[in-house]
Amino acid sequence: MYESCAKLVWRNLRRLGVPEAALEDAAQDVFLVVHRRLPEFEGRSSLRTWIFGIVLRVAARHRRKARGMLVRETAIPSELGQALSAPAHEGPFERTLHHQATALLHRVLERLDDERRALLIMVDLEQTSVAEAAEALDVNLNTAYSRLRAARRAFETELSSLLGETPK
Amino acid sequence: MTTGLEQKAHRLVELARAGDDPSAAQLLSLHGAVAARVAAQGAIAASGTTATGKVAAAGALMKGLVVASAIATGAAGFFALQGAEPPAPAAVMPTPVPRPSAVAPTPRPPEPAAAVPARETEASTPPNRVLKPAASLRLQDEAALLAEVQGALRSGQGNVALAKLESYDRRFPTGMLRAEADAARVFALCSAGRVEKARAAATRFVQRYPSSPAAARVQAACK
Repeated sequence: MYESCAKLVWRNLRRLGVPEAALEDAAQDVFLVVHRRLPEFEGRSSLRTWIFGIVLRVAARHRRKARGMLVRETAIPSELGQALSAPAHEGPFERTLHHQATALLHRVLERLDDERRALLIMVDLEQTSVAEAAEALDVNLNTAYSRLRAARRAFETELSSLLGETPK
Repeated sequence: MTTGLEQKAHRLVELARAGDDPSAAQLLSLHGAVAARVAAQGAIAASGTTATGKVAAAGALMKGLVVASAIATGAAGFFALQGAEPPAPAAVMPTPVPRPSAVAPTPRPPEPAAAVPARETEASTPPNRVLKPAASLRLQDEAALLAEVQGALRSGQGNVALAKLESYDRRFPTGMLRAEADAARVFALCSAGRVEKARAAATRFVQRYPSSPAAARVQAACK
């Protein structure tokens, strides 16, 4: 249980743009908040969603702190766009592909506004239900659905643009 | 398309989904650091440097931890007993390691923490309201009652300890320190000479908290 929480915290801090050097500190902060506030957890959302809410706030704080810190932009390999249109297969390059895809994902996420980024991470990456995501973001369900649609379109547009394609 | 994303975006998400997990070494390091900071925070709270409810609550929890761990294991901590919680401060508990960054990250107000505006514009730090007194007080009460249990056990009054544990069950059916109470019950039953019951309780304890550091001691009770 602890381990799955720790992974949840860590990967989402990364996706939310906390620089590598600040990750452990940020993850510690999340756990201290969780530790302190656990008595208030009322089970209205799942524990994962509740923790995700804390991750969002801690990530925002660490991003602000890290502003100005030099963040190396990973280059996007030119063949990556093609690889993404190819059907999935496990091959010798699959590992590299995962790695490159993760770096690209960060580049795309970074271009979204905060709410869209959070929604997309929760629903498409963490596979949280839209209802839970709506609760975590404090918006009603219909709003969450329409914003999710917008977030997905923005994600696709930014991806195309990063891959040097003309957006559809 | 399950994600509602067009093909490339969908594939990117699929490929990258597991890419951000931490390594085993990173997890381990995090685990140790959190344990140290939890302990340090308890020390800060105990020294009364901050008067806010938040820290007081952490202090209450730490008091609970200390009491509970004294009962259950001597040194092993609370988190390892509680399935849903962060790491075990067990190893670090006796020697809090204060470090500068132990200054608590300011959490947002109480409320079911689900309500989280994702906007970065949260730059305007939200008002620092005090923790719901109820939660903090309840925890303090739990810890105080378990401290009494421990006192009774130390002076060999198993029946007194049992009576106090019954009162704990009544007052805190979903208590935060439930595992500690369950462990203490085993020792109290032994102390009261109710060996059969103690063994049954020990077996239940181990089934319920198999990874608890207290499990071995609980099983060895009455021997």
